[in-house]
Amino acid sequence: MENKSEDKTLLSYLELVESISCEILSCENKIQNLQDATAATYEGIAENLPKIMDRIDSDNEEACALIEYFISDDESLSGPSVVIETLDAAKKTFEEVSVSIRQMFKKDQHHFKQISDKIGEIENLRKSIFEIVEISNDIELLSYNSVFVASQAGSSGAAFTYIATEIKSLSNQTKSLAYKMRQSSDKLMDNYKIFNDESDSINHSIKSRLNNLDQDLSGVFDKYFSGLKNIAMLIKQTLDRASDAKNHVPAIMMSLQAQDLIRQLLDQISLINNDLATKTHKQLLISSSESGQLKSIEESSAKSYARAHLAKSILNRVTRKLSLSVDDFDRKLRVLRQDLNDVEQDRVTMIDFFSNRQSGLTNKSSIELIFDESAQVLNELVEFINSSTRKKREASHHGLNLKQTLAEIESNFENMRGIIKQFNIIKVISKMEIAREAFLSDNITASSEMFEELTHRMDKNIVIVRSQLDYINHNITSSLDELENNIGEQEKIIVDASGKMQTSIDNLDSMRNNLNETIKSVGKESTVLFELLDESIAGTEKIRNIIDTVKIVSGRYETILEKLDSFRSECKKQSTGVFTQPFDISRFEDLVKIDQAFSVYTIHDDGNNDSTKSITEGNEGAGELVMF
Amino acid sequence: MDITITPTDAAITARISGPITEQDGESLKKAFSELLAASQKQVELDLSMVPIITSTGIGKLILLFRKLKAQARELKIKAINDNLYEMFASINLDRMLKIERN
Repeated sequence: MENKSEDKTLLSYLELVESISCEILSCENKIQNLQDATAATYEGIAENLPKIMDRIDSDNEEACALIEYFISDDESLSGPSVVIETLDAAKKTFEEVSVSIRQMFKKDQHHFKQISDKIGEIENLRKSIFEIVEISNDIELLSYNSVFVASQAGSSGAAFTYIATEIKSLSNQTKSLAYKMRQSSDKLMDNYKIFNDESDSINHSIKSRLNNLDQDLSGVFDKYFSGLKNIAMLIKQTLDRASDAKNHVPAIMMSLQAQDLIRQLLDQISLINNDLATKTHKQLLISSSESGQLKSIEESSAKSYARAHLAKSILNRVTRKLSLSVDDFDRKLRVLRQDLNDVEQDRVTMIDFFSNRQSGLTNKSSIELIFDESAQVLNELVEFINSSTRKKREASHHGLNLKQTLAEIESNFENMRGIIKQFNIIKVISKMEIAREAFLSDNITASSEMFEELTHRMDKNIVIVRSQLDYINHNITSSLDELENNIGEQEKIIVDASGKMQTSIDNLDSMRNNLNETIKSVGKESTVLFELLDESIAGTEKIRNIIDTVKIVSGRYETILEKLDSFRSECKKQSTGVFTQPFDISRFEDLVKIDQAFSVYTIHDDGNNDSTKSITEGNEGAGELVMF
Repeated sequence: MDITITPTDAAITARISGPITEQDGESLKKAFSELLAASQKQVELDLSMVPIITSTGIGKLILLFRKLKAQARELKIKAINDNLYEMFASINLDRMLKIERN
């Protein structure tokens, strides 16, 4: 009767073992799936993380290189940048031009002053010419008087009437010439005034421009240097910020490695599953051939129960830790993405402002505006220098008018001298006539004497005018010649300087376009970087889903436990005293060891620096893994 | 960096004190979001107590200006530190933003 009952229990237990084996197989499949899927995902993420770091590095390296090549002012890096070099060259050119303009201005001032000083001389000349006109008027009056006196003298005055008529005729010519000379001297004065006014105006404008020139030039180049330096600095800051965000990556890798270590603990469950499936069978086979089967069944079912319980417990602990670890990893990954996204947004916004047209900046980019406004000042300077030279040339043309007027005065003067010679001849004839006709009236004699005196005065004035003319002519001509030569030289210098300045402006203009395009490329979105990050974030989501699926396995262990519990309860009812022993882990030393030795890896934060983070394993035999 | 936001009927004013550095990105973003969500048409920034600003601040400032403009609202810098103004002027930001100097 007892044997029959034991057989029944054995059969029932064998059926239960079969059913448990099926459940175990299903659990094992799920765990294997979790193992494989998570391993593949970890591998994918682990491959991505160095790529993310490399991507940040390469993006930054490229952008830094461009910035340094174009606008960095740190010569220790790779020598002066292209823009700084171009700006320095342009600055040097403009400074040289500034020095040349100052030297030319000094020379111009000297020549203009020389010519201005001649105003007193021209005034004296005018006075002398006016005096000649006065004398000429007196001679004319005298000639009328002489004709009248001679006609009263009768036949004795006949010769003198002829002389008086001649004097009158010469006097008319003198008057006409004196009038022309006066007109010429007025013209000389007018031309002189025009020349002088223009010289003053040119000098004044050059002087005031020179006063502001250094300030303007330094303003222009300061704007270039400070503007571009600040742009470079701001871009560099965003690149540094991206590099700083990279510091999150070691901690993320640490978290990933921790997950992988936790995942590997699933191997332990597989071992227990294997024991559950194989050792139970083995034990049963032994039990069936031995006496005291019930005792063996009791021990086998108790150990199976303890194994299933241990497997469930480990699975729960692993999945819980894995979930926490995935959450931590996901959070860190999202913080990195957010940080990089923030930097990216700032960079893209700034780069757009620096290099794309802005409605608030007269439809120009910030860089274009820096270049264009500065170029405008430089262009104005070039135009000013060119127009000053043109004006000086025009002023010198008025100087030519001066020379022409002087030539006119000189030619009239020569004619005057011819007339004076005739006056002198008449004077001699007149004296001879007076000597011959001793009885000539006192009036005729007085007229003759007066004529002699006037002729003498005229002579004297002519000598004065001659000397004044010579003096003025010589000085004005030589000053004008010097001015002409100086302007000629200046024109050559200005043509050369204008060319250089224009080249500098053109260089800056082409630099402006290159720089604008370069900065745009620094602002390009790092799509690859974000794709890698998103891929990794999607990976964590996948792991989370797998963990959720594995949680179902825990339910299967629960079913196994229920079945075993129910089996043992039934056995307990039928076989008094055999199934009364406890059936938890504590009864089996080997399982207790597994349970105690089993631990879940945890991350310890040893400080602020991510590189000091370590992973320790459990309580006993805790190892430390320093990852970075 | 500290930010104090004071709303009135006519305007909402954010007074920022201290240098704006990389660490201030989040709080600046939060404060600017508050300004963007406010109903006042006029948004004012008092930067008189800000001696320096990094790319974090510049990027977000330009973005704030654009978003307010898109909302047909106005951004005014009602006070600014001299250092900051020089920096803004060097990159022509003074041309785009309405700035009142002390």
